[in-house]
Amino acid sequence: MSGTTAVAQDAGRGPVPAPEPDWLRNLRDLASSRLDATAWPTRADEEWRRTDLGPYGLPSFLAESGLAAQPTPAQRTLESGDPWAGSLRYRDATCTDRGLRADAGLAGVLLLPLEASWGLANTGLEAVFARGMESARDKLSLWHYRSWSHGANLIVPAGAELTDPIVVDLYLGAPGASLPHLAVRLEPGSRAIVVVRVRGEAVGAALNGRVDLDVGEAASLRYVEMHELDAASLVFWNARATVARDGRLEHTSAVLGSLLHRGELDCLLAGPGAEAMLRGLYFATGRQHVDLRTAQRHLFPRASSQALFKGAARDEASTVFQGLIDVAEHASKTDAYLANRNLLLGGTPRADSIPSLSIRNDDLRCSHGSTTGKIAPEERFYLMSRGLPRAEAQAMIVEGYFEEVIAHLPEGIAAELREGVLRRLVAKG
Amino acid sequence: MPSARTADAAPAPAEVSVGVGEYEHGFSYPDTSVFRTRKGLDEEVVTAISGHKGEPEWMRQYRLRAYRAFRSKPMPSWGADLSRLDFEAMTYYAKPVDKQRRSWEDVPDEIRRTFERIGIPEAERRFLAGVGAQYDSEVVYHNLREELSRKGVVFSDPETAIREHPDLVRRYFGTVIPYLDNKFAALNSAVWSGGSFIYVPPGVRVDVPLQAYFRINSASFGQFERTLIIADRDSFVHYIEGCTAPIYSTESLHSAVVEIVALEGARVRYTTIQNWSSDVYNLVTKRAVAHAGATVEWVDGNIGSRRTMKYPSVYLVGRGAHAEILSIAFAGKGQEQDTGGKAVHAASDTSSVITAKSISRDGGIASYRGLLAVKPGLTNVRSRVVCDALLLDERSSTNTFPTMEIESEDVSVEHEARVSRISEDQLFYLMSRGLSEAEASTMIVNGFLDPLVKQLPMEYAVELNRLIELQMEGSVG
Repeated sequence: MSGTTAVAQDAGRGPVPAPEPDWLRNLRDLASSRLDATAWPTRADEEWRRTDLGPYGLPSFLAESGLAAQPTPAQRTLESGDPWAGSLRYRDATCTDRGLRADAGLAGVLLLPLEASWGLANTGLEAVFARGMESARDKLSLWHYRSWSHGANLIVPAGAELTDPIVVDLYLGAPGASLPHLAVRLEPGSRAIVVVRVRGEAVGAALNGRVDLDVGEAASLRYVEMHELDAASLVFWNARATVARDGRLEHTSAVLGSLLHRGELDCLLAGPGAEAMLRGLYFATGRQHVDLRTAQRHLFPRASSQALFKGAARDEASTVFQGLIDVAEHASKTDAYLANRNLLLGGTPRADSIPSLSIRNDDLRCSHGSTTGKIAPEERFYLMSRGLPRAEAQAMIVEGYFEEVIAHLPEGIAAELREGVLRRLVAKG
Repeated sequence: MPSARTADAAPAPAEVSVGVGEYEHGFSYPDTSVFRTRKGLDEEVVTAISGHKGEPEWMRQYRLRAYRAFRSKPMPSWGADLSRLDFEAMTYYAKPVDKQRRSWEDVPDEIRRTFERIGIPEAERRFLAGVGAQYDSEVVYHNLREELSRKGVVFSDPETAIREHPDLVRRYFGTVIPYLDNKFAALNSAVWSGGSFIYVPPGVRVDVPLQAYFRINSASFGQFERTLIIADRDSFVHYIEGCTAPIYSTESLHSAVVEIVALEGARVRYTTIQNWSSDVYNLVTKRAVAHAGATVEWVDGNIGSRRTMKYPSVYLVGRGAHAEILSIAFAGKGQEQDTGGKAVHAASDTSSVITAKSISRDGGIASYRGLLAVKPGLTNVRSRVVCDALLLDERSSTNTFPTMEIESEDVSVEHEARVSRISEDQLFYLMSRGLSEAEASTMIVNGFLDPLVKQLPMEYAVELNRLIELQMEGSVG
């Protein structure tokens, strides 16, 4: 728990890549045997009722064992004027860049390619992977644990306060399977901002990624992820977050691309006083299908969580949002809220909204709400009466609609998300 | 060859009879033979049931097809815990005369005390407990029948309806809930017995709520009631099922099917107060089809039973139709109330309102399960769903599983759900006025349910309030 072995911030060489430890090889073997014994999920499985995996040709991706990781470059020192405090960039499974500012405030921060982390002690990765493997039941999760190839390992030491974001860029250039894994740990009392950008013009990649976020006692993590892959790619993105006593997690996700995006965010409020704010935006056009699930799980008293997911759908796209608030027996004085909003923008889109509550304690405040509808004609009329053409009026309203999710973000990221929304607005199909 | 009869009745069913003198319930009933099918269910049992009712061939075939569907369908993989249901250990049909022979002394104390507390008239108590000596409803019923038949309203049991109005029955029976719909609808379609058949001619308003109660004989509390209500154009009828008094039943599974057809401009309100005894599994399929300009209102109160799964639904298939579903559920010790409602919009300019209130106490589990679906290509569809759950102690649970499936864009769909406990401030206020905590809690709970209770006919509302009081004291299991 206390401190990790700091990596020599030596600009000359990266860490010596160590072979995979036994526990990891055993885990991959176990995943492999379970994978072979498990069938692909179908619509008869409750969890996959609203997403038919049939048309996407997944078995052919599975047959490839994923792109092998290449040796990692050395870590460079970022200038103090760099907008990022740290950066880790990948093109497919190859790490193309690693950087970290040398300020005193970043002493002890570990930002490594995950696949090169085995030489270090106390990374906690064995426990992280073991926990993940326990709950890996379906074929996609087992595939990930068998074949993940690259990713990020970020550890922020106790008390460290990072005011500028750390960015992880995952760029998909080649078609085929890509299986990244991101592990972020904030030790007690630390603060960090993490931005993950998943982009690419690979035309037909299948991304099967996992994120493990561990927010320590009284630590605070602001995490943003943007997904904007090409219109033929598939994304399966599974995130688990644990927030310890008095910890705080602010998680924002934006889904703006790919043909299919299936995302899960499971947030465990694992101590009294823990707080989580989960925001999401999704904008599906053409024939995109977006299926998002979130869970706010309260196990301890006095924790609070809020989820706000706003989506828009157009043309023949379809979106599904399922959000669960689960309050266990001893989680008194829980304060939990979940809201899902869906905006339908013409064509024949479909939006499914399934907010659920599973409550086993009576001393709480808990509610959820969901609304689905179209742009209010009077709002559009108001803007058009000011001289804006219809399309522009509509665009302005949509931008304003998503602002509720974007406004809280650091300005640079906020601007990028706004541009992403604009690109969706004008996308043809 | 196994025979579908009691072991000690040797001749074929049609030949066994009990003399009128031995029939002590005092009702008129076309066939007084003693008849009971053996335990378990197979095609022979189904055929025997149909034969005993003297049904036409088409109904017998319908039952057999439904039976085959029942066998082939799986149990639901969701909902209340049904693991202890044993289909082979049940008797699926017993003639009413035989069914409720029991003496007043055998009636459990709690039941007798409940009658007292709720204020059930003495004359009704014995009847409700299945002891059934005299019951005066026959007189009431006869007067009502004359008035109704003058207007052309049909109000009878489905067996009679098949004999007297076969065309009407054939046109609508099984069209709202096909036997393939789910396992329990299939079961009911195979072994149904009793229930109500109502037909209201065009333009006729039935001002008195029709109650199964009037027509009561023990078939009305049957396991597999089948109710079909057809409200012709611009008519109105209000039907009330069940009553607040606990129904003491030795049968463990009650699986009814209720179909409602509301033709253009008609309005149908169907009120249920269910208070089955605490060992009953109550698995019901209720659905209405609302044509253009029609309104269907479900008022559904679930207080009793061990497990209830029931989701009254309205399919809005005509322009301008409207649906309202009001649901109250009270889950006490050992109970699971898995209830809610479904509104499926298949026409433009339609609207629906679903209001569900539940209370969980002493380890009970109350779940709301609902569907709001809007089909493609519709305009001007509005819907609002509100679920409120009250948890009275830390042992109880509640779940909310609403689903919204929206395939048209010109809609306004809102859903909200809240879970809370009795507010400390409200309790303090009432207690500072001299009420005990129990009295204050009860008053708050009654207030919580008030918007729905207001929709009930007054005598039900009063009884329901008293019943809630009883539940709050925990003296009714």
